[in-house]
Amino acid sequence: MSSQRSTARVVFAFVSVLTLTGAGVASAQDATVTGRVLEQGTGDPVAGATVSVEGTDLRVFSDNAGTYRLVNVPAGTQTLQVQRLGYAQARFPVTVPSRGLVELDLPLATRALELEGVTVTADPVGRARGELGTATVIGSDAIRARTAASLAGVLELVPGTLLQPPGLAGVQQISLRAVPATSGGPANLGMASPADLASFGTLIVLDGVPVSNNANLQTVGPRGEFAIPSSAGGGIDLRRIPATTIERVEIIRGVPSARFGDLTQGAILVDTRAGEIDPELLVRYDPRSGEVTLLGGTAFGGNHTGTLTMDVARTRTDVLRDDQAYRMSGQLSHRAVFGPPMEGNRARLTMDSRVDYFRMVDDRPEEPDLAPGRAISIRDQGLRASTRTRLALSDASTLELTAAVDGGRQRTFRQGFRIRAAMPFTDRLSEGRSEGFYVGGQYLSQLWMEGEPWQVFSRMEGSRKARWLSGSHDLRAGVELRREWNRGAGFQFDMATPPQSSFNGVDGFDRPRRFDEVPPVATTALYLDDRMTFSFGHDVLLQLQSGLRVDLLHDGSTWFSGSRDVVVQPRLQAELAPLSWLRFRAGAGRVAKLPALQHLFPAPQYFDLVNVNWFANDPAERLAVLTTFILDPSNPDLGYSRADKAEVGVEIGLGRDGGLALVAFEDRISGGVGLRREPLSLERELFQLADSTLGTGTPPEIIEPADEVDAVPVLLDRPANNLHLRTRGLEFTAFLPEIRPLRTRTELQGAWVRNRLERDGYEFSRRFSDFQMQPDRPRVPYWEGAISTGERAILTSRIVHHLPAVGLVVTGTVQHVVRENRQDLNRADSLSFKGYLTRDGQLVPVPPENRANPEFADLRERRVFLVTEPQKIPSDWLLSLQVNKTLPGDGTLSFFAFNALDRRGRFGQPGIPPRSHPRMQFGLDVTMPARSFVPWM
Amino acid sequence: MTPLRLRLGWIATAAAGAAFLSSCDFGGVTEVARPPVARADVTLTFTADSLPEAAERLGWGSAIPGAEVAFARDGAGPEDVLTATTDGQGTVRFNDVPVGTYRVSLSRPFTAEEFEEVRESGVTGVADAVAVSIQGPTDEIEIAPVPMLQRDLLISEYHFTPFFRSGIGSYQTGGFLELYNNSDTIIYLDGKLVGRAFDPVHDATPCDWTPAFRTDPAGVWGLEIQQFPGSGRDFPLEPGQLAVIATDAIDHSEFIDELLDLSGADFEFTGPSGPDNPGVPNMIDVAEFTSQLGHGIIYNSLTGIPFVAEAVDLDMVERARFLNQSHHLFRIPRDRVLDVAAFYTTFPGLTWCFPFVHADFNRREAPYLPDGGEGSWLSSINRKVALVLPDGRKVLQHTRNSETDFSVGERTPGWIP
Repeated sequence: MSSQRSTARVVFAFVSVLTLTGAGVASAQDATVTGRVLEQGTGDPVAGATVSVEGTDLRVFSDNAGTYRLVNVPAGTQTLQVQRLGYAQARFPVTVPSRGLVELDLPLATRALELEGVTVTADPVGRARGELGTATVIGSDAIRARTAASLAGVLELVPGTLLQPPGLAGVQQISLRAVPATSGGPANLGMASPADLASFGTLIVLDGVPVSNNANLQTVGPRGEFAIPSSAGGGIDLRRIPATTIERVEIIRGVPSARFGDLTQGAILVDTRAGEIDPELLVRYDPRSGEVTLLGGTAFGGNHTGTLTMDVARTRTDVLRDDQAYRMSGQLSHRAVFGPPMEGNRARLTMDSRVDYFRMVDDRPEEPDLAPGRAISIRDQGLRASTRTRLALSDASTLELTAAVDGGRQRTFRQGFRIRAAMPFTDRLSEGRSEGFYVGGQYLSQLWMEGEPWQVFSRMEGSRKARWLSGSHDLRAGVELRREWNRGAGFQFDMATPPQSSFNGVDGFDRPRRFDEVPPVATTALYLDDRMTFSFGHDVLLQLQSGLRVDLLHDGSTWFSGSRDVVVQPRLQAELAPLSWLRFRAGAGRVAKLPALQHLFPAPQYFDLVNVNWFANDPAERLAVLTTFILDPSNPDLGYSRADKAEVGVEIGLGRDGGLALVAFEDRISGGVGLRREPLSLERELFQLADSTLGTGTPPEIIEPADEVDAVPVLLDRPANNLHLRTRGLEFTAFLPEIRPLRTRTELQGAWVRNRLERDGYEFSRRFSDFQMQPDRPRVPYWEGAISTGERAILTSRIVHHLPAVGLVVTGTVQHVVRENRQDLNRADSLSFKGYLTRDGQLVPVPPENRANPEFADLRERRVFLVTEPQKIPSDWLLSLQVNKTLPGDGTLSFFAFNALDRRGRFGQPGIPPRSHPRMQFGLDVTMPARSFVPWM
Repeated sequence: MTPLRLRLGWIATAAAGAAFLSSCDFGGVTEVARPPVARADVTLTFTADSLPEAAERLGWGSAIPGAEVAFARDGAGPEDVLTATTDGQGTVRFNDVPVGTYRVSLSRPFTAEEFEEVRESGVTGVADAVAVSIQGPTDEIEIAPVPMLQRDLLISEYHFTPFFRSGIGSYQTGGFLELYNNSDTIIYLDGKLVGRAFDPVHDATPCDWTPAFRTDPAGVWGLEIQQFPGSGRDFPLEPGQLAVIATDAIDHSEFIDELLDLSGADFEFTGPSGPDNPGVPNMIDVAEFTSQLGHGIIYNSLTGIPFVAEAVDLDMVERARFLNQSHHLFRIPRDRVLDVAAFYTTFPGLTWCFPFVHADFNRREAPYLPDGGEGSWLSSINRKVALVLPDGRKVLQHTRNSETDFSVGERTPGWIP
């Protein structure tokens, strides 16, 4: 807490001082960068190549002599990006002084691997466009050089991310700056882990439009007994985005600008491939997976460009069974450019439209020999249409309108045999008392979940360049409207064969629920952001980005409804470059994440109390009477999770292509959404029976009114902002300059993260069900919510050997999990209870000094399921290899070997959890321009 | 040390060589090298030291004649068990057997006539099972087997292996415990206790945490305890009559074909949930722990320590908590304990902490079928019959040794197979 504040204080002091000192210095004079675009090898000029400055709107074309000229380039370390049909895209770092002229020739090769200085890993000191926060930028060369089935595979280049074999096995999610989550399982069951919170709080923006998982309701809820793979409750399933169609990924790990909301962790901005692209075919094969991608783009009608990408991939997810996952996806994109070009070659009106489709299938068919009855089928598909219209109002002002509609269709089917003891049962769907019946034995249960999540997103943003207070300013202001809902038929099963089989006579079975009864959620956001650049003397450069964002959750279903929760989020980032090779950076700000629909509108909870239990041998004489209570667990106070983020960092240039970046951060999520167990008491009526003689062939009758009423304690799982997660960490990346004689360069990446998760609320004895059922037990102990800590340090080393002459890149990656610990900080001894719960649902605290008194002896119970001793998983490592080689005909061949030494990990021992590595996998990719085998293309 | 090491080395080499030779197929060669395994001639003599008065009345002298003896090397299969019957001197001989550890089992129930002769002694014969070390070349071993006692109320059958389907779940509430009046007089069940003794005996709990509850000579520590209803003479049990106590006294075959119809059980363990058969009297829950499902006592499917005891006021006995668990364990004093049995599954990979109870209550636990094995719920654990009286009444075997007193067999609620 105090260190969080002190970090924030340092950051603000740093920024204030720099702002004040910056106010009096000379205004920034942006420089000009010019040179020629040339073909590597021949030296011939390349005309019509697009040269742009990353992170800005600056963009020009080379003329017939290959010459380009970029004016008003912001000072500092910039990256030029060059694109030309028929050539590999290339990036060139350049140090731009505050004024003057920089000359730089830009060689282009037809194939990236034959280009000097090609980057096959992430850019450690990159910046997301328009952003100053710490970011990892993964360019197209790095994406092309990786064997990855989805976005998740690309994100392994982010510090602290565990390597996984490529494929579509299992739900794939990303948790920035946390222990990564690989599945949403725990979140489904109400015990969100730090990784679940982080994955839920990581924003994914696809082609400028946020992709949301908020309306995903494909979960069985906290009482579910059937395990169903689902991303509900966490971030989106990244498998839907094929890696082969991604152009660029920007991962804002630090404080994002005010433009980005609905996040607690960071933002991942994904751009897919669009524009003029030679038709290209990619085929991948490994013993478990196969993938075919086809893409191409063409210009037409003078102002238009159209691109089509299609991808089909399949993975056998279990080699022993017939389980498989497959994906089909496609995208049609269109860009239209209208009006005369303005300064910096900016068009008057640009319209980018995209239609995306994906279908992701997980099939685990029934295998009668291995597991009779068990089958899972998950079919998720989505269609999204989005358009971004950018209107240049003047040389300095732009208006951008974004609109998107995203509709999904989710079908989950799960069946399996259940066995239940003989028990009284009711299938009543409303509150009240009724006659039930007796059930028991083995049955086949089938569960369908039909979800149709929808999102409408729109944003209007104005931006303006200006100069005042001795600096240049990029101002942005915008408003965002968003509405999310689910139209699915919901959670459906036959009440006679429910997916739950345990019933202790108190907690009831869940009932079917329609998702389309869940009301839509509407939000509005406003933001204002200013990115400022000040220069001091020739070399010293200060950049600031400050902004304010307001997110508003409406209490109704439209943007005209009142407000349920509002969060004001100030954000500030600063970067000071006293020397061209040195940058100091800092940032602080508040971010907020909307609760998921499943928490805003949780399913009702059912409790069935047994009033009469008369199981006569003659079925005609049996009588079961049960009372059904339906409790609404929704929480009107549930609102945004808030996170305060702070970071400081330094970046040092090491020669032409080396660099070092170090950042320390602290994130504090307050009010993360979890389930709070609330004790309540229900009244159970107990009846005298009339006509209870056996052998009459008729059941007895209850005598009204009830002879006796007793209190039955129950626990209601109510969603609440009750989780508090503090994450601290260090990240570093070191790019060592290339050892020219060996044509080898080394990259070291490390991340150390420590989480501390506190749960507000109480935990109850695991014998709570005994307490519920035994009226003579007057009370049970309860404890304070658990405080869990976790720590992990991962060091990833990549050695890249590159021979441009033959187009060969060999990358060896060693990932070393250096440290991994977990521990719960609560006491677990028998005096650690906080108080007791009475049968009528009252929580009575017991002061610590009285807990040893004899009258509380019945409460002295060891607290279980806590890891009170530090649990350390021994360090371990694995090696993966990737080889990329150009082929005749402008193709590329890649070979990968994940876990090349087939290291298996370790078995667990008492007190030491196991570590298991996925087994070795290897495979091949081939990318070919379609023209090399289809003559007419 | 050197000579010994040399010798051991030589033995190892020779043994390895012999093993190699014996494993080779030499075609027409009939004489093959035999491993130099030491062998022994064994004489076992069974004395009547533990039942001198009965032996004298029966004219046995100091020996036990006519007893069936089984002699099996540790680890031997059923086909390698040697059997013999003792002669008039109580002796059997097994010649030219390999040295090693052997298990000797003996059973000599009295005939109905013999039992009539010694009836007032309460002894029904002798039976035992002991391990002996045979070193060769000649071993003469004297064994005094334990008398079988008639006793009063005995656990005659235990069936709690749940119906189980891998990956699906289990039906755990179809079990029963059967009691038998092994005495010659009416026993009134009213107020007597039936329970499940403390049993954290598998890998989850280190064995050195539990001896206070497992090896207490002062009594048996009860975890779940239920009491027969009745005011004193409501539930008489005639000699040779049985009482079946079901977890759920219902026809379980209504729900799973292979399960039993227990709707005719004599008593039903009580629990707050589960079906309640109004035609079957409920037991009364008197301890603090309740099986998770709330259907009444369900013995642990990996271990079972059922006991029966005379009525005891649990407020008056020693109580303790294990590892500060919320419920108490109650010590049933040794003079109130009527019968204790102890069983464990031979489920692979599990290890146990023996003994389950002090040797005064049970000397050796009986293994039973692996839990969850296909069809294992079709089997049951039955107490052996020692002898059948002329009127057809069976007298069951009781030697305080579950291993020898029980055998795995059919499910026979309400009758003695």
